[in-house]
Amino acid sequence: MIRDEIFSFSAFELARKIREKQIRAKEAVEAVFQNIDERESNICAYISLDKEAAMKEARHCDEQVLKGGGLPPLFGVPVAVKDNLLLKGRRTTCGSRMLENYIPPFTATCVQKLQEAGAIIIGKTNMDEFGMGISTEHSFFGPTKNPLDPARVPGGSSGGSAAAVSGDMAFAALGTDTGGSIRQPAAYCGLVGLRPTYGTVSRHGLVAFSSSMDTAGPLTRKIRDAAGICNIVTGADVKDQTSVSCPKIDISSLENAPVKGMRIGIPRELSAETDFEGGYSLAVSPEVKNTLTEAVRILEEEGARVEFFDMPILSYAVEMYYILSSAEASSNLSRFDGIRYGYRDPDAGDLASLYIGTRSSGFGLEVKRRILMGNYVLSTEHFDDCYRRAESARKKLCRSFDAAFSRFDVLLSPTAPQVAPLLGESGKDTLQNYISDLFTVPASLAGIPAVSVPFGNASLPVGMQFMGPRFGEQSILTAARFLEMHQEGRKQKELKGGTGNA
Amino acid sequence: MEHFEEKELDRILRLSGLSLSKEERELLFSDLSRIVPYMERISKFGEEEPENTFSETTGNALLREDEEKECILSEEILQSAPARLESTFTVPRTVE
Repeated sequence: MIRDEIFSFSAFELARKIREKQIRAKEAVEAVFQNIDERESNICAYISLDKEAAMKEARHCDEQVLKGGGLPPLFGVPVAVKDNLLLKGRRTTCGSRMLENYIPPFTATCVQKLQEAGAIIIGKTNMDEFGMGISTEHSFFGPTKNPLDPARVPGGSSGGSAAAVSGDMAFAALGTDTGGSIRQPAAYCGLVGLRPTYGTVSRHGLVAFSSSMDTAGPLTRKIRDAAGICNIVTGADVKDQTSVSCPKIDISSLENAPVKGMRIGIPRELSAETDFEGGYSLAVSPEVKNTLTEAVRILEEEGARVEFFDMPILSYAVEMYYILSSAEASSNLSRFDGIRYGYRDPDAGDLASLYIGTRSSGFGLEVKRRILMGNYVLSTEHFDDCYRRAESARKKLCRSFDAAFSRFDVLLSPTAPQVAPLLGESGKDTLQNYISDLFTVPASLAGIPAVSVPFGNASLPVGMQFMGPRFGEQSILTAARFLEMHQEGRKQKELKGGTGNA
Repeated sequence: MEHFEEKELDRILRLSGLSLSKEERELLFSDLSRIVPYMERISKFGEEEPENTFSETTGNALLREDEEKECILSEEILQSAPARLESTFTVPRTVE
């Protein structure tokens, strides 16, 4: 089977073809590595790859197919994993010099679940160091580029995972999302990115950045793949006290995407030009505004009830997020001291200089910035006015979402205020970068599920985000599937038009 | 805080166990001088006393059975140590 044909299948379609002996797992893995050989030197989606192990697993899969019997749902499918998810015996760096040569002694629960479902883990993907960034330019291993336009960033921090799937260098990937790190790169790379309800995916083996918000989830080309992988990786885990069990997504009922009568709310604060107290503002680009308008139009045409409403607390979401996530990061990253694992400053003469020397040369600039911000808001002088106030505001934000979901089934917004920026642009104004997280951080703070789905006909991909109540994955994926169906119809029309003109 | 000051940067550097090069210091001081006042807008959010702040995002904590289980072997953990002596981590001498 030719390579392009193999990549026309979704992850679960490929698994079915392998089970039905129409494609061999070896062919699928070879196709992925052919693309990697051609593209990876330019895109830099991966930090580490293991072709030999992947080929060995593929051969084993093909032997299993010949033996017959029940085979798991992702059997033989090449999948990538973000490099902050542990895989026993395989280097896990978090994109940092601090863990440049770290070999973990166990596997993250969500990765293990993927393996048990038959997936072949082909490599670990590039990321902003410890998940702190929105462009995958803050990696010790260099920046990742967007396969759709290599002059642009893929988003972050799961930019390597997004680039691997978007560039046909994996059939699906796991990313992690603290403040939008699955959804925003999915939007920039034309993919589906799902952040499941907080707690439904075990954090055991996910290197901690902000423990009250870190969530692993899928980046895929199709909604069905995202839903299927979500069903595989979710579930309570005794190794993560915050984990919870959850209802499985009914994938077959997503197929026709019934949105008639669905109540959809759009917070005005997340819809257009947003001005905050103190002279701060967030500009939403015309192509993103137009895409939102188009999404509203077709949802209403289908019978959904779409309504704009005010949710004023959202204008404080960025402050809440950066105060709380930085506080948690400064605490979580205090474990990197050069003693038990990771990098150690070779020139340190005493214990105090060992700590400071290791941390100062092991962490990159963005991580240092977040640690400093975290220790600022946790220090005695600022704890009440910053950290405690942000925790209180977070609670009010959760109540505002509860109130919104008593009126609406799902909420809609753009995923990001613009299309993928050019490489180097993101580093110019740190504060403005932080403010541009406004659309994604509210769901992170509230622990609710959110999905980004590619939509519209702008020259570069634009993502639309649906947010739902806790455990509301079914509703947000139904709404997202409707936009995906519309998008598929649009592409088919374009193809037919192209054929007709030729 | 109206203005973020150099001495404040020195204080949080000590708390963070970090030192900065001259270039890093100039850049981070400039960034934090804008970011800190922005974050502190939160102090104006609601004048009432802050609420209790227990987690809103988790349900009941999941506990393991209190039973003996095999742990990861210390050898596997020690393999990642930057410096070791037999079955221990080593650090610079702290007592002369």
